Amino acid sequence: MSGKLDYRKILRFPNLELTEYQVTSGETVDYNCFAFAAGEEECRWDPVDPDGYWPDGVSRELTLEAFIQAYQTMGYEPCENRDLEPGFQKIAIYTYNGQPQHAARQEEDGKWKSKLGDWEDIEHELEGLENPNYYGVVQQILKRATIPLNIS
Amino acid sequence: MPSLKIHRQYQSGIEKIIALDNSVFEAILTALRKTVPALPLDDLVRNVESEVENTNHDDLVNILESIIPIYALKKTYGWTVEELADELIAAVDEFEELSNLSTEEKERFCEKLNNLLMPNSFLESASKAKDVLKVYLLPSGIPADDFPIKSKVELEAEFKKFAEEWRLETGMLSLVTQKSMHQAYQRIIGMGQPVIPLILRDLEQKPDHWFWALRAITGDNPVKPEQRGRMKQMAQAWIQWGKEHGYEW
Repeated sequence: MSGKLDYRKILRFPNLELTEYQVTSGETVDYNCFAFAAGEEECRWDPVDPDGYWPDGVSRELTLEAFIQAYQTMGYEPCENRDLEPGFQKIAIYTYNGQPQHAARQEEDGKWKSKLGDWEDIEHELEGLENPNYYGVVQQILKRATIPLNIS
Repeated sequence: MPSLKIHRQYQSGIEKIIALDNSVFEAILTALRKTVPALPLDDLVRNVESEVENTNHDDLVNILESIIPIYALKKTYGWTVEELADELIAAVDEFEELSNLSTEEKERFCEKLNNLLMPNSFLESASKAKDVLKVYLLPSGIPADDFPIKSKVELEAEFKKFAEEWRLETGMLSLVTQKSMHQAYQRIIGMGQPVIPLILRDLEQKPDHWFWALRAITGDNPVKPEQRGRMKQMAQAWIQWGKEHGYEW
């Protein structure tokens, strides 16, 4: 599946049309961006909804620290840059007023992919989803090794 | 006129009303007339207990829980007292769980219904009833000063309108806590108990973020910890809950 978003959706993300993007799925409420970034497409990650999934042992609060800890349970660690590094997967966390609002994951080809709320998944540039009204700006990059380190 | 079906939760209250001596039931209604508006159920029960001797506390709670929604029904559907009485009697008649009632017991219920619905009784007092409605049908924190009284058709149209507005304006958001703060979603919560069948029907057609609203309206949550975040399973848990509580949609 590929294409462009409905015009009513584009109105919410004016930067998207100034950058490259394409729709890569249909709409679904089965998962949200935070789950999608973690590779999960059958549940919704949400620390502040009592009915949302959240990794055991991680604070249920809408803070960057809590989200970093949640992704650390999947092996991710904070890192400094968003560039493609062979052998590593990356996640970008967007915050607005310091509170996480969105997350994207980097694909093997270096492109970023994320789910727009209950709407479609899209492949996009990180700047394409930055805006002052909803997702805010990219605040944190995390990475984890995709190739196990061979320590002998 | 919509056909009334009694929710199972009111079964034991109705049975207790039927079993009550007429004079005790009248004393309860007299005590209710003296209460101040907008009291929570616990306070209503305490007030009645201070006026009526030898009442069992749990029975009284059960009875009051069954009395109050009767008036809410009248307001919701805009029925006259006679229409409501007819509907209730027919509903009791058809209620499977009450099928063992004798004709005499059903007549006793009709007598009590007459007392309950007589003009100037506690439940007929507009100002008090409005406040009672606040206590029972609206979740805390929702302004109820202009609580609308709507027909089923109006409720459906309003639900559809608010749901569409809410979906359009919050579809891009990832967190349910933010979605549920939208004004249209709050208006749906404010519609109270009558909106529950509409939400359950919507959930059955397609899972959506109605769990927050259902928790707020019902004070219940049938979702198990292992189902958290799994929309289809959570929807199924609420649909099952609705069936178990006598809702039909």
